[in-house]
Amino acid sequence: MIAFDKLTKQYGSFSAVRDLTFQVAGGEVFGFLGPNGAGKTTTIRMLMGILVPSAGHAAIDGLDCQLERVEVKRRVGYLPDSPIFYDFLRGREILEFVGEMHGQTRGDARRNATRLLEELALGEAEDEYAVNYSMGMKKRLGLACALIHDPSVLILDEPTNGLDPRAAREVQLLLKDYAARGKTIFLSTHLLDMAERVCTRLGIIHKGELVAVGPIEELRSKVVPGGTLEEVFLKATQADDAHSGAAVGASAGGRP
Amino acid sequence: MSASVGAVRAARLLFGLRLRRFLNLMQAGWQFSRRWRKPAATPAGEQEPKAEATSELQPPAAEPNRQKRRATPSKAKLGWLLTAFVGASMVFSAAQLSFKALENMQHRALGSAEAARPLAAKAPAAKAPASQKVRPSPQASPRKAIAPGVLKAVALEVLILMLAVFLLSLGSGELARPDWDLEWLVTLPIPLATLLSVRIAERTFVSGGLLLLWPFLTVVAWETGYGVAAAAALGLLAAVPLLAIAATLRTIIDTGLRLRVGPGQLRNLQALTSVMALLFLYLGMSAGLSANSYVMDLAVWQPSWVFWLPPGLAAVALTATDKASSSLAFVALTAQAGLCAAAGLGVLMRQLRLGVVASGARESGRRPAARTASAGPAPQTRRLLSAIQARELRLLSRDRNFLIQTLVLPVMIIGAQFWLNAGMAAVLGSPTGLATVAFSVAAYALMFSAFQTLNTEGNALWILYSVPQPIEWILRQKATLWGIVCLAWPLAIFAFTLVRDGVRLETLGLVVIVLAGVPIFAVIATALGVFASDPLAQVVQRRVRPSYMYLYMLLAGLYTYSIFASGVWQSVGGMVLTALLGFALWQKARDHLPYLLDPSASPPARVSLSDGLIAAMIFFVVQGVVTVIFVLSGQRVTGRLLLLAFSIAGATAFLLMRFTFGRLKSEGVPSMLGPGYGRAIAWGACGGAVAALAAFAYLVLARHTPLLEGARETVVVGMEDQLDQIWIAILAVVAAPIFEEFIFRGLIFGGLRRTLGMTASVVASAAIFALVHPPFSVIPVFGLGLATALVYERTRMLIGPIAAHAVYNAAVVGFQFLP
Repeated sequence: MIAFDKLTKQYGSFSAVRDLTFQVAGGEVFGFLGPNGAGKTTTIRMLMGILVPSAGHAAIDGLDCQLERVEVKRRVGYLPDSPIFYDFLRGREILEFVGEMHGQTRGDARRNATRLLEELALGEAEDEYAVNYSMGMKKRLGLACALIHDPSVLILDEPTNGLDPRAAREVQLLLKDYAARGKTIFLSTHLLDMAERVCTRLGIIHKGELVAVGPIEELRSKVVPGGTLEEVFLKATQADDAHSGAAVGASAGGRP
Repeated sequence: MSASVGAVRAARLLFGLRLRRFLNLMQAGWQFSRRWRKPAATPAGEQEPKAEATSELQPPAAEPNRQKRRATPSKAKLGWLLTAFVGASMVFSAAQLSFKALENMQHRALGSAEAARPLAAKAPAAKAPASQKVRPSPQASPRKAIAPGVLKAVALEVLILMLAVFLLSLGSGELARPDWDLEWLVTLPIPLATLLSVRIAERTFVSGGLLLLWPFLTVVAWETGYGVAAAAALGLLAAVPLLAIAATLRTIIDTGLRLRVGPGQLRNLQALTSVMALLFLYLGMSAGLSANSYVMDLAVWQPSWVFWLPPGLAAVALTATDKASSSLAFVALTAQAGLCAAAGLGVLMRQLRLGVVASGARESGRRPAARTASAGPAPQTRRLLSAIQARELRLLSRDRNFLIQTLVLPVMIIGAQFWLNAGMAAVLGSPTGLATVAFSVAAYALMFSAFQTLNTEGNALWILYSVPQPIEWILRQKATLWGIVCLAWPLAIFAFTLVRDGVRLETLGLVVIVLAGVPIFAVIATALGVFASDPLAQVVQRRVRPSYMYLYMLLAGLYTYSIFASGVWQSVGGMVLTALLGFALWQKARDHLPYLLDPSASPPARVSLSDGLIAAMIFFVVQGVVTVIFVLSGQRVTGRLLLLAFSIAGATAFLLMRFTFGRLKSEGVPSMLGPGYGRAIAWGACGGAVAALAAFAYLVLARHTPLLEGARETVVVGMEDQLDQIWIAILAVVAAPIFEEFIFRGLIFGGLRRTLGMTASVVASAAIFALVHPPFSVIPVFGLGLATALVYERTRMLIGPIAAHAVYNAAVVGFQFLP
C-alpha cells in the first residue's frame, strides 16, 4: 500500500532522511519508531507532499506522492504532530470545512462532523474556538479532520504524544478498530508501549537511516533475543555508528 | 476516499472559511461586550475536566440541560470599536488628502487662474449625474477634460500608492516565520494552483490597501464629473486590478521567495520594506500636503508610455471624457492585471516545485569557528548592565526588525514630515518646535521598545516567571534601559541646536522638560505595555491591544502641552502630573502582573488612582487649550473666560471617564448619593463654609498685600449684565462642583485612600487639586481641597463634597460682586 523507494532528503550537506526503502502492506498498522530528530516527521511530510524528496520516491496505493499529490490526498488522512488551527474558528467549523474540502456535501459534512465529534468526545467543546483547546483536544480535533472522509490510509505523526492515559487509550482503541476494518495505518512515535500494543510491524529509524524493520517478534529475536522492545530500540539506535544495526530485519519489505 | 472537488468549489470553501472567521471575530467583540451584562459563560478551562472525565468510546449519557456554551475569545475589549473608528478616520483623511492632492495638481499644472475654472465647472456637472445610478452619458453632463500634466501626476500618484500598498503588506507579515497556513491546506486534496490563486484573490480583496487606493481613485473619478455612487464604483473597478498586481507580487515574495532565501536575509528584507513602505506612503501623502511636493516635480519627467502601464491606464480610465476610451482603458487594465496574476502563478508554481515549506533549516546560532576568545567581559569587572538589560541589547542587535523599528522608524516618521512638507521646516527654527520634535521622536521610540517589553518575551514569558526575581524588578530593568537608550535622539537633536545657536536660556528650560519627560514616559510605556500585552494570544497581530497604544499616544500628546505652555507654572504642573501618573500606572501594572498568564483569574476592572490622574491631566490640558483658543479668537482673559474654560474641561474629563467606566463595567466607581444624603449635604455645607471663610481671609489679605496684587489682575471679573451673572452662578455653583468632585475626590482621593493613610491622601489630593488651578487661587483652593476630602471621607458619597464645593464657589463668586 505504501512503498518507499530510496527516499532521501538532503538539506545542503545534512541528510535528514537517507535511502529509505521498505513497504507497508494494506491492512497493517505500521509503527515508525525513532529518537527525536531522527527524520520521522520529515518522512511523513514527504509522504504528504509538503516536502519534495531530494532523491527516490514514495508511493501510496501505486500513486506517486509527489507527482499525483491530489489523488494521494483523497485516499489519505493526515494528523500532524502539533496541530495548529486558525484563531476565531470553532472546532466544528474547521471540521465541517475539511469535510467539504474532501468533496462532501454540506449536509454530509455536517453529519460526519457531528458523528466524529461525538466519537472523539469533543461534543462539549465543539463550539469553542479551536485555539483555546488543550493539547489533547487539539490532537483529537486533528484526528477528526483526518478521519472525516473515511480514508483508506491514515498517516499519523505522534498521535498520542501529549495525551493523558485515558485519551491515549481511546485513541489506541480507535486505531485498532480502524485497522480491523482493513485500513492501513502508518504512525510515527517514540512511545514504545503504545507501539507495542497497536502496531503489527515496526520500522526503526535513526539519524535518517532505517536500522530495523519487521514484525515485533522478529525484531525482538534478531536484535535482542528475549529482550523488551525498549532494549531493541536502544540497541538499534546506538549513536556511535549510524550503521550499527544495519538493516536488521529479515524482510526489508512485506508483501506488496 | 473523498470525492474530487472542483477548483471553483474549493475557492468558494476557502473564501467561506475566511469569511466565517472574520464574522466570528466581529461577533466576538460584540459578544464580549454583551457578556459583561450577565457573566454566565465559564472559561474554557473549567469545562474541560468534565469533558475528559466522561470520555468513553460510547457517547456520554445525554444531559438534558446541556446548554450550548458560547465560545470565549481572548479579551478584546474596546479594540474592535477603536479599530473601526481608526479605519473610518483613515478613509476620511485619505479622501481629504486626495481632494487636496488633486487641487494641488491642477494648481501646479494649469496655473492658478485656470485652476479656478475647472472647479467652478465641476459644481453644475456634479449635480446633474447625482440622480443617475449609472455612468452619465456625455451629453447629459460634460466631464471636464483633464490637462495632461494633471493626468501624469495622477498616474504617478497611483504608482506611488500601489508601491506603498505592496511594501506595507509585505512588511506587516512575519516573513521569517514558517507558514503553517499553507502547509496545512496543502494536505487537503486541492491542487496547489488553486490554493495559490485563492491566496492571491484573498489578498486582493481583503487588504488594507483598499483604504489607500480606493478613496484616491474615487476622488479622481468624482472630480472628472461622475456622481458619488458612480465614482465610488469606478474607483473600485480601477482599484481591484491594481491591488491584484500588488497581491501577486507580495505572494511571490512571501510564499515563494521565502523558500530560497535564508531567514536572516528575510529579516533584513522585512526591515528594509518597512522603511521603504513609510517612505512611499509619505511621498504619496505629500501630494496632498503641500503644493510643491516632489510628486509634481517627478511627474513631469514621466515618459508617455507610462500610460500603457497599469497605473497610467487606471488614471486614463477614470478621467477619460468619452465612454469608448474609458472602457478600453478599463479592459486593458483588467487584462494586464489578469496576465500579471497568471504569470505570477506560474512563477509561484515553479518556486514551490521543490516543496511547500522552507527547507527546515532554522537560523543557526552557531558562529563561525574563527572567533576571538573573549566571549564576554572579564569576570572581575562589575557588570554594568543586568542580565535582562544585556539580553535586550543583544536582541536589539540581532533582530533587525526590532532595531529598525526602535531607532530608525521614529526618525523616519517625524523626519518625513519635514522632508516632504517644505513649510514644516520653519518649525525647526523655533525652540518649542524643536523640543516637540525631540520629544516626539523619543516617545515614538519608546512606544516601539518599552511598550513592547512583555511582547518581545512572547511565548517564552514562562521563563521569566520561573527565575527568582520578581517580574516587577525585571520590568524596572527594562524601563531603565529603554529610558536611557531613547534619550539618544533628543540629546543628539539638542546637541545639534547647541552647536548651531549656542546656549539660550529659554531652550534650557525646554531641554529639561524633554529630558525629564523621556524617563517618565519610559515608565508609562512599560506600565501600559503590561496591560496592552496578551502573551497568550496565538496570533501575532493580536498580541498588542491597540486601545492602550492610543492611550499612550494621547498621554504623550498631553505632555507636549508642557512644552508649549507659556508659563512656568503650567509646565511644571504638567510634568508633576505626568510623573504622578507614571507612578500610579506602575502601581496598577504591578497589581496586574500575577495575572498575566492566567487571565481568567484576574479581578475585573477597577477604578484606581491612575484613572483619576488621567482625568486630572485631561482636565488640566483641556482647560489650557480652551483658554488659548478663546484668547486667539480675540477675547479678553476675564474671570468669566477662565470659569468657562474650567467648566468645559471639567465636563470633558467627567463625561469621558464616566463613559469609559460604563463601557468597561468597572467596579468602585464613586457614587453620587447614598443613604443619609441629607446629613452628607449638611456636612458638606459646613465644610464649604469653613473653606469659604478661609478664602475670604486670604482675599482680604491679598487686597492689602502688593505681592499678590499682580496675580489678582487676571482674575478680576468683568461681568457686565444680569444674564451673565446668572449664567456664571449656575456654572460655578452647579456644574463645576459636580465635575471636579467626581475627579478629584471620587477618583483621586479614593484611589489614594486605598493605599495611603488618611492624612497623606487628604493632603496629596488637595495638592493635586490645587495644582490644576490658576496660580492665584492655589492657596484657598488647597484649603477647599482639604475640606472636601475630609467631607468625602466622612460621608463616603459625592453629594457631600459637591455641596461643600458649591457653597464655597457661591461664597467666593458672590464676594467678587462686592466692590
